[in-house]
Amino acid sequence: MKPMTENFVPLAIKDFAKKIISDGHLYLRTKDGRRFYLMKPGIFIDESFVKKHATNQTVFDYFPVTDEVLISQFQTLFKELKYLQFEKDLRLKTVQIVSFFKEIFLTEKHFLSFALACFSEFCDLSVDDLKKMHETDLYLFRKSLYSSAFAVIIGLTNDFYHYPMIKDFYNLTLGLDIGLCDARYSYFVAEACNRENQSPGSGIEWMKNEGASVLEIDVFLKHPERSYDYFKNQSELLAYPELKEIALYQHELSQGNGFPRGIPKGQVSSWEAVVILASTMVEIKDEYHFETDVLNYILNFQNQKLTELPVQRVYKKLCMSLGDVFQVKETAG
Amino acid sequence: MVKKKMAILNLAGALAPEIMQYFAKKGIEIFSPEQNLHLDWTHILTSGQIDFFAISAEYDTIKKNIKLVSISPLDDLQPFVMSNGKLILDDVWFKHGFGEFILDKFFQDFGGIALGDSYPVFKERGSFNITNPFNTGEYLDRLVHTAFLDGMSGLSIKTFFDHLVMYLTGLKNKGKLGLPIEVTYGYFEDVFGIQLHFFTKDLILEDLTLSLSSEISKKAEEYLLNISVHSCDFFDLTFLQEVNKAVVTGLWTKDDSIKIENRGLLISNLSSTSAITHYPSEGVTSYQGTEPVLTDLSEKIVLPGSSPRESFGDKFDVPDNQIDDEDVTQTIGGGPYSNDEQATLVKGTKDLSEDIQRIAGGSSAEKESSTIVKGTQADVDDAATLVKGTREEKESTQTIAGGPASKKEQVSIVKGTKAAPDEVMKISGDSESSDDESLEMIKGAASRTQQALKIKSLNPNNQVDEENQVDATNPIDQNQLIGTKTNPPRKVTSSISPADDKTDSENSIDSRKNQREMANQRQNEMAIEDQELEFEAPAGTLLKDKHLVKGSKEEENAKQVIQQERAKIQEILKIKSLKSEFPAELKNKFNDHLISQDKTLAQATEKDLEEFKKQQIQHAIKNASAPLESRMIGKSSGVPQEVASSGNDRASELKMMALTAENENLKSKMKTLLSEVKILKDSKSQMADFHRKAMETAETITQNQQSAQLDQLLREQMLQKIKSENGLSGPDAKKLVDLMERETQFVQGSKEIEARLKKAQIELNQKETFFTQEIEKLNRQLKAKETVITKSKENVTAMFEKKDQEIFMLNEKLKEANKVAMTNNPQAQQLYVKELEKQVSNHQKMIEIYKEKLSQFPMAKTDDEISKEENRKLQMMNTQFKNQLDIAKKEIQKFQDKMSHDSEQLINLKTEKLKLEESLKKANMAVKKEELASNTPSQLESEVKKLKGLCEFYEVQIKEAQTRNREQDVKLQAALKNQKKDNIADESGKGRLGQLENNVRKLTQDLVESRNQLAEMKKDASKLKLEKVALQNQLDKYKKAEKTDKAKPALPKKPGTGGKAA
Repeated sequence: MKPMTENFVPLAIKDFAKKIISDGHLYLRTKDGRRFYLMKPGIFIDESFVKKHATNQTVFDYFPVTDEVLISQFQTLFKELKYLQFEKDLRLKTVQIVSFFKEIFLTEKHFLSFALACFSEFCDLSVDDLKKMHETDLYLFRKSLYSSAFAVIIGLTNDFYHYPMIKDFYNLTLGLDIGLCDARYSYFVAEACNRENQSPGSGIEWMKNEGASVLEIDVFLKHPERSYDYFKNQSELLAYPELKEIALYQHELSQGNGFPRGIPKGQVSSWEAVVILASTMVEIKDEYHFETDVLNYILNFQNQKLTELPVQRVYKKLCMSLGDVFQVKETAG
Repeated sequence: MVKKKMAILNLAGALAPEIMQYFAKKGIEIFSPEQNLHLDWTHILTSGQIDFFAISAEYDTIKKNIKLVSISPLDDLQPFVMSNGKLILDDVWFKHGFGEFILDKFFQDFGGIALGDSYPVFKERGSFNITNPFNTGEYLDRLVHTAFLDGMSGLSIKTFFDHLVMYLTGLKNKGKLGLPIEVTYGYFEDVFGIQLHFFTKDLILEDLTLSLSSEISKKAEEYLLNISVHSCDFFDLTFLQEVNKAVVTGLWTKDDSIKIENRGLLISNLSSTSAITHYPSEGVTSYQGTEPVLTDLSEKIVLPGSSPRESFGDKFDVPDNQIDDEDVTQTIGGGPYSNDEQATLVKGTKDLSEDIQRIAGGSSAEKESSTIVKGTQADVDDAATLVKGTREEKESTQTIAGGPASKKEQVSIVKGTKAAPDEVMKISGDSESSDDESLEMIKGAASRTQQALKIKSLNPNNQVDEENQVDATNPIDQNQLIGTKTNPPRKVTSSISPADDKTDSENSIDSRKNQREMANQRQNEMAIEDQELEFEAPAGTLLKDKHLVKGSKEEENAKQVIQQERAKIQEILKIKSLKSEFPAELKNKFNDHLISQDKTLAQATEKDLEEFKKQQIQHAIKNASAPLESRMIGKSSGVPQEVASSGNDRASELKMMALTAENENLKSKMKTLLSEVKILKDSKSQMADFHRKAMETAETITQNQQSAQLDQLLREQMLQKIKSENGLSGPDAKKLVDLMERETQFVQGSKEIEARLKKAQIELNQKETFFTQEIEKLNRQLKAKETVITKSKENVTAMFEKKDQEIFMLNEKLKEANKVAMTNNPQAQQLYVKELEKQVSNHQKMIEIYKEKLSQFPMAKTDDEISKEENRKLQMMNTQFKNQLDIAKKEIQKFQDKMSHDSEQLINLKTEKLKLEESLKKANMAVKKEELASNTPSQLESEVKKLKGLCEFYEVQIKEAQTRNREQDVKLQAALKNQKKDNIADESGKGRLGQLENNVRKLTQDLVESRNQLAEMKKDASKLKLEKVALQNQLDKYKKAEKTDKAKPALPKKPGTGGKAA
């Protein structure tokens, strides 16, 4: 969302080029005072953009949304978790992280702070892969960035205390849609993914109704397998390589009518549900209202999705850790 | 997918009515082998531990995937599972309704409650994920805690879980299992269930069967799964092929008929249409939100056999009349040594203090396991001497009896030597009373009887007895052979203590295996013990009496009597010990020896034994050498002489070996005993100190008490006097005053002490809190340091790796250099050097050339690459700006051309306009003339007026356009001026170019506007032209009409017709 107030700060291109991901709203001001909106927070900053403005030595109008202190706090908490060994210590540290998360996002803090902390701490995907996602769709990378951050908090609230496991969840969610990065990716594919998110199982129907091409449908239907192949080839990416199977579960449904496998009811494990839920919570959009209203968004997540997805148990645990139980009972599927 | 029709062969015989009912209900037909049908069997029902391999071979169960179903529990699961055994289900499960569900699940291949309401709904009690198999302690604690609270056997659940997780870890190491493992546990009515599921791939039957061994060995991997299976009431292993997962479920019931042993096993392979068994709960558990408090539930662990008689009788089937209560209630170790109940009494010495060997567990001040050996008769009821470790072992010396008599201390008399014809090895503890205070009497080959070493008491698991019995039957005492050098008391304790006994796996295994045999042996031994007690009873009673008159003459007499009795008993025991110690052959020989001397076993003396032993030892030595010789001969001649060598030779050889081993054993034991003696001395001196201190304190206490009593008496006397005499005399008053003073002093003293006490308590509390805080701080610091250390370790390792790589590289370089040095001869080296010199000279020349070149460049003054780049960039910018300027100039020229063209058009328009105006004027004039000449119609006038207005409007517009044109001209001129300026200073073009661009843009906009206006004006002009033409036409018409009217004469009017208007 664009900022309501105009507390802009000048930001030279050389400073902006240091960032990997935009952590604020970026504008270009003309001589006559008119502003052109260039970039949203959470967008991957590519080289071409930097080169283009470096020749002109552009100074942008910038509205940062993240909190550097908050990012470093989350980073230290993750680092502390990394060096703990015993289960009780791990559990207590996890509780500390979750309670800190809850405390922070009760206020209108931007979710990107957490997302950036997670990115800097857990991301092991190569820059080329990230660029590939960004080049496929500007908002695909942004979606993956946010959903992978959700995967971290969902994992932590679901009794996954070990740092390598959380890291794997993060990287799996971040690269979950890498199968969409295809030359035939189009608006139809992105929208079908969103439709699938909004109402699980409706993506393919929508594509057919809208007259999407066979190739586009193919991209949509086979992207879980392509993502799986990607993780299969990245042998050193995951600490627990068996978790790569999760990529195949991202569009599975409770009643066994999902794709690509159509896994029967009750055969989806919690570690798979963590990633599925995280992926479902964020769509490929240009605007997210949850960015400054994280807890409410989590606790009031849509009922319809949850009944049709095999994530109820995981979602309940997430809510039990973040919110009050009464609210959970109302919202849980 | 259509399921194959079931064809079940019943090899189990008669089935339980519940099972029959189930099959009838489901319409499943069962065939017996008598029917002699040859169907495609899908299942075979079996019962009991039969030869499953034979069934497998006969029916080809594995190849044809015929599932074996056992309807009775099995001890050895390995052959069953290896023969494609899939289900073991005892009919007791049908009591719960579970049996039906399990059969449904098995025969219909389903799992999970979603497929039917018949499955009981489990309520979740907890869940957790295992990411590190060696990091499950807290989870397991919670699980066991919950199980205990539900009234389940937490221990079996703990065993199940531990073994299963370790089995799964083994699978993970094989690369057949993936983490995490998700664990859920819950309950339904009186059934408690644990479910684990995990990712698994390429798991084969062998992976299961290899860990299902029923034999307990040192390789725990071989029986992990077996123990896990046997720790639960029902074990369910389900594979989910679709998702490459496996689900393990363990069920426990409160039903005693089931929980005694495992009654069920299910191995199923679910198809894609099935779902896993899981617990849809009334809510999910999360340790994030709630952290249940774990309370101590140790009281739930109750070892079997609350009453000794019960446990003993249950285990060994011994009749009640053969169990002596006292025998059974005697306990081993663990308590303070002063507590007689927790002393270990060597069998046969219940009342004889000399033979008491007490083994204390851990209540001594040093918290060490220690052996207390009761020594002298005088110390029968005293606390025995405490033996602590073997620290001063080196100090102890060993001397064989017969040596210098001065070394009475620490003398070991080896039984069987000439100097010690009594054949008793004694370890004397004290020089003064070496006989009286002998610490322990170790009987030698003859005296190490089964009875002597056997401990009368039984531990709850009966392992002590088992062990001792094993030791007794074994000529070489295992525990003693291990040697007591390292920690003798501990070893002694370990041989008896049940807790430590478990660590000695081999002994425990043997003992378990021979459990029942031992029970029988024990029964026999009980009879022998009873006989022995007959001998011991008088000595015991004497001793008890003597204890009452300690230190008197009676005591000495009693001692003598006891010694005599004891000597008799020992002699008998030694002879009796042959029964168990010697092989049967020797026993028989000894009996023959006695018969040859017309004696019975009861009449046999020690001399008889000695004679017999001498004969036998000589014979044994001969026999021992014989087989060796015979072997040598056999080897040389090639004749199998071993056939000729009898079993007796081997036995004697073995016996010799046993004797030598025993000798060594005794030596080691002697050493330990010597060390014990030394320690005993120390402890005695310590005891004496304690005693002295105690006496001193007792004296002070008695003094205080006496003074208090005196004071009390005085007080009473004074009171009586006051009452009787109504006053006190002078001395009495003084006494009273003194008493009062003392009282006040006492009160003050007590108050001061109380105050001190309170202060001390407060200080203590403060210190406690301070120390706890400090400890916490230190712990935190420790943790922080640990993390720092781990981090630094990582860094250091990384550094090391780098350095190693560098070193490796350097080494390689060195090797290459060495190789070059080694391979090249001096001539080649000279050539190489020459080449190098040439290269160097070439390079120098090249450098000079480049230097010259560089000096020629103007930019070479600034060698800085950055400045070069900047220059390049600036040049680039310059050219770009120049290009842009050229483009702008061209555009401006175009605009100028257009402007000139437009201005020409404007001029033309103006001229046309003037012409039109003239024509209009003419027309007006003509109209006026016509009006004057004839009355023109009013319409024409109005039109003319309109035309005039329009003309005026257009005139105004044209004027505006002209003014705009002028303004544009002015702007153009200004722009041209700017351009000229820019041309002059074209290198400072950045901002100006922008301005120019803006100006050009504005100009273009203005031009576009003016063009539009011109187009509109043209349109207006064309309209005006048309109107003008129309007007002219009208005027022409009028003119023609006038001419014709003037030329023609006027006609007379016809009647009835109107005249035409003019």
